[in-house]
Parts: sequence; C-alpha cells; structure tokens
Amino acid sequence: MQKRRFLSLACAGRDDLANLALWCQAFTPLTALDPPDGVMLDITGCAHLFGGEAGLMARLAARLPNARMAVADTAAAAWGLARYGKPGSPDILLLPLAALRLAPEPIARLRRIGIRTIGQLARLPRAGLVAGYGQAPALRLAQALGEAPEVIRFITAPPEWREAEPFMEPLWLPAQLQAALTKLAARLCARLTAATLGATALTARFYRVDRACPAIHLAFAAPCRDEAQIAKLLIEKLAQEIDPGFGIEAVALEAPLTEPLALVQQDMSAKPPDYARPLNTLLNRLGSTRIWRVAPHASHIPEFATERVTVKARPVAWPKPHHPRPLRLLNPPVLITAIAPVPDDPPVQFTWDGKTHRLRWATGPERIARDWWAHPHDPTRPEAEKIRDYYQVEDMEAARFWLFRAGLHEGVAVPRWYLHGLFA
Amino acid sequence: MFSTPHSAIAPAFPAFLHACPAVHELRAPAGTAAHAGLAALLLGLVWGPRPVLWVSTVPDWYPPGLAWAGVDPACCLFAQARDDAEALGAAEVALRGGMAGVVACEALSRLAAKRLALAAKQGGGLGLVLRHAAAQTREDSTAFASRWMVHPAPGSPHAPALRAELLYAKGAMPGTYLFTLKEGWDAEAPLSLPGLRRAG
Repeated sequence: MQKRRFLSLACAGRDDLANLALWCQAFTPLTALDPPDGVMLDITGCAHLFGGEAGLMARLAARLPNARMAVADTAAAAWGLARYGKPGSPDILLLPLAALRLAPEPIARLRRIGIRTIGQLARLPRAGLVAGYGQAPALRLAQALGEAPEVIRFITAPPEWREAEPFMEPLWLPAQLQAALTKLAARLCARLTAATLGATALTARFYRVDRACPAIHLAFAAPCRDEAQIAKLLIEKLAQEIDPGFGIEAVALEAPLTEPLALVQQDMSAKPPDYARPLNTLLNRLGSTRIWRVAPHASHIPEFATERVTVKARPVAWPKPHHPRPLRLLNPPVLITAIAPVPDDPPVQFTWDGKTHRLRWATGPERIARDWWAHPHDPTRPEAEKIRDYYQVEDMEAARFWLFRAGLHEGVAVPRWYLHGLFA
Repeated sequence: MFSTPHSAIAPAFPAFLHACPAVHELRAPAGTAAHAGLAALLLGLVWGPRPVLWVSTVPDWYPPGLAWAGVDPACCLFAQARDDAEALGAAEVALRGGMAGVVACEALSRLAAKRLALAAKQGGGLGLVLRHAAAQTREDSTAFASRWMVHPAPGSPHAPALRAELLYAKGAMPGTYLFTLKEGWDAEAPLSLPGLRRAG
C-alpha cells in the first residue's frame, strides 16, 4: 500500500471553506474542511497528475496567493508544517508545541518544565506525559508521528460515474464549453451504456481559476443515457447559470444517481413514443417544483383532495368522483355576496367581481364537514363552524359555478358565501 | 378508435376534430371555464390515455373535475409558467415530444401560433390553446386547425352543455355546435385508463 500523503492548506481570512473544499476536488477526490481557516487534502496517488508534489503545490500557490501549505505523511504533521514550518524543512520535531493543535493551557504547563518544541515533547516518557498533562498532548504527538489514527471528515467524494477533463488554457468562450460538455457527455454515456445504467441526476462542475466552482444540476424524469439529449440540456442551462469569470480550467460531469436501464435493440420497427424526452426538457427548464403529477388524497375538503407528486412518480389510478366537481378550482375561495330568499337555502343571485349573476337553478346542498381531528384550529379558514354547504348553480347566461356557504343561519357567525369553482 | 367513455357521441363530432396532429384554439368569455370543458371533451375523445401537459400561469385545473369530465388525471401533467411566453414554450416542448398540450394564455402572437402548429405537426400531438378573448382579434392566425368561441349552454345538473361557435376551420364551414359534456357516459362505468409507460 502506498504511503499516504496529506496536504494542508491554510488561507488566513477566508470564510467560504466549503466552496474552497469543493474546488479542491479538482486535485483529489478526498478533501475535508479544516476550520477555522483551512482545507485538508489527501493527495495520495494524485500528485503525479500535476507534476509531482512540488508541481501540485506550485499550481495551488498560483491560484491561492495568500495561502500557506505543506505536505506530510500525516494530517496532523501537514497541519503543523503549513502553519508553523519553514518552507523546505519537513521536520516537525523542530516546530513549537502550538503546531500540535493543543489548547493554550497544556502548552503553558509544558513550557514551565522547559518543553518548547515537539522534539522535546517526543523525548518525554509517554506514561508520565499522560499522567501529568492529560490525554491530549500524547495523542496529538502520536497522531503527528503516525502512531495513532486520526479521523478526518472528508466532504462527499465525487461519485463513481464521473468524467473530468482539465484544460491547458482556461476556457471562457461558450463554444469551447459546449464542446467540452458534449465530449464529456459522450464519454459518460459510453461508460453508462457498458454498465446498462441510466442517470437520474447529473451535475456538471466548472472549476474556475479564481477558486469558484459553479455547477449545473440536471434532473431526469426517467433514467437517461442519451448523450445528445444530455448535452442539449446542459448547453441550454450553460448560458443562464454559469459565469466563466476569468476562465474555467477543468470541467467534470458526474452522475450522482443512477438506475438500471436495459439496452434497447435499435431497429426500423415502430417504437412506442418516448415521453421521457419532453419531460426531461420541461423538468430542467421549469424546475421540479413547477411541473408535477397529481395523486388523489383522502380528504373530503375539495382543495385537499389532490396532492402534487413528482413527475418521476408512478401514475396512480383515480377514483370516479361521486358528485360533480368543477374543472377549475379557485384557491383560496373567493368571498361573494349572495342573496338567498330563505336562510339555509340556495341563493337566487350573487355578485362576483362587480358582476351580478341571477341564478336559474341550483342543486345541493352537498354538505362537507371539515376533518377537525386532522388539523389544528386556524381562525383564518373560511368555516368557523367546520361545515360547508356546496351548491352547483347555473346563471341566466348558463355559466355554471360551484358556491358554498360557510356556517349556518343560527351558527356562531353570520353565514358567508364563497365561490369555489367553475364548471363551464 | 379508443374505448373512451365518449365513443357514443363520436359520430356526432365534426370530422376535422378527429384529425390528430392539430392545434385548436378555444376561446371563452371571461369568468367561465367553457373552453376547458370542450378541451376535456376533445382530449377524452381524440387523445385517450396518452400523456397530456396542462400548463398555465395560474394552474387552477382541478383533477377531480377533469376526472368527472372524462379525462384521466393519471395521464395529466401540470406545469406552472411564469408568463404566457414560457407557457407557450412549455406547450411547444410537449407537442414536439408527442404529448398533448393544453395551454391557457392571454396573449398569443401569430409567431407563437405558427410555432405551436409546427411543433404539433412534428410530434403528432394534439394542442389546445385556451383563451379568454373576443371572437375576433387583430392577431387571429390561420396556423391553427380551428378556432372556436365556446359559451356555456343551459343544461341539466349532470350534463353540462356547451354552445361552440366555429369561427375558423381548415376545410369546414363555420357553424354552431352544441356539445353535451357527459352524454353517453355510463355514470357507473369505472375509468380504466392505463398511465404512462416510460416516464413513470
């Protein structure tokens, strides 16, 4: 097994560490936040891609002019060297005790007995060190020397289905980026085809020279590995969502979610139409909150009788409604003034939006009581009495409405009339 | 022919309404939903259990109401657009992909009408443009297969009726038709329309 190598990056005065760690994934898949001021990179087996460790550090230093960095065999040693070491001297034994990430109190106590450097600390007997100064100094020392394990919380590594391409010169022309995305989509789809998988989500990341890492996220209504469609969807979003800044030096296309997708025989016979194509386009153009399917929901309240589900969900069978329901439902119901000859009777006339409608006939009432056990009391809802009486009415011009009266004639409040839907 | 609840009234329908790659414009007076009723009737008759996209800026379509009028909500997808242009663009994508598109919009330029018609021709879909507009406007286009002005007509509580005035049609004479929304539909027959295959 290859010896592990860690690179610690210390950037004073930089607060957006999460973004920096994401950007550092252009160099290695394993990067971790190192608060308050740094990022830890596990560069084991990655440095040769950038001309060795010196080349990698030169490249990082060119992008992060104020950062200090060091490479060592353990994360703790790299941390200390990056913050307290001199350039070119990889010996941690000469560093002060603060390089071990110790609290000020044990450092002060150790200074009192003349221990100022890590080398002096390492020469002390460990048992006595633990007995006199607690676990921390001995543990930190062992971690720095590679004798004790250290847990590093790396951010989520890029998924297995990832294709990346670095560029010799930073790109910033749309045509260049479009060509790069098309090429990456073809490569990723070839791999997915070999594995009979399809992507249900895709992320394209753009590593900018100025340490930003914008991304395009795609969602799919069905597993997809059609390179032309993926490239088209990416290019459609490229102009709106990606600012190339001073240039983009690497592009990566990742599929974080995949599902099995069988191979299909390509032949001349007629195929069933593939409705996933327009749905993918709409899903990515409108966003997943603005396109939905509907599923029935077990509630008698008309506005709660349906619920929105994602486009990916399987269609559910709908029961046939027992009573007439309007084609359009006004949400929230519109308060109207209605005239009823007898209390608790259907109205003969109502006024909506300044226009008076005389009614020819009315059917009803269809009484719908609120499921009071399911909702907390809300005084802004129309029905204080938790009862609605619905009437289907037709006015003299044959327009058909769905009205309801909230409350009863001798109820807790004066009956109010609402327009809730339009039949025709 | 699809075995939809509306097959009983199919022969009474004007023949050009059965032609499938077509876009029809349905207008209705403000404050009514008569055009949506005719759209539901047409979808049940011509389109059957294939997917339909309903798109508008205010998506207040009520799925149980659509089910009552003969459209299976399991085949329906609903989308909300920011403005009319986006709604028409979404309908165009759906039509080009072979779906049916119902789009409610107020402004409709001749260019948008032509684009919708071309998209329907390419995908073989059925497009329905619902508008609250007068019977005659300056932007009237001949790109669509037909243009209707739909008024609600007096009917019985369980059979809403529509009086549809044919303003323009390719290869048909203008006239007035009376449609009954639920005639011939056995009220007890369950809707058994399968849903999407691939997109589900």
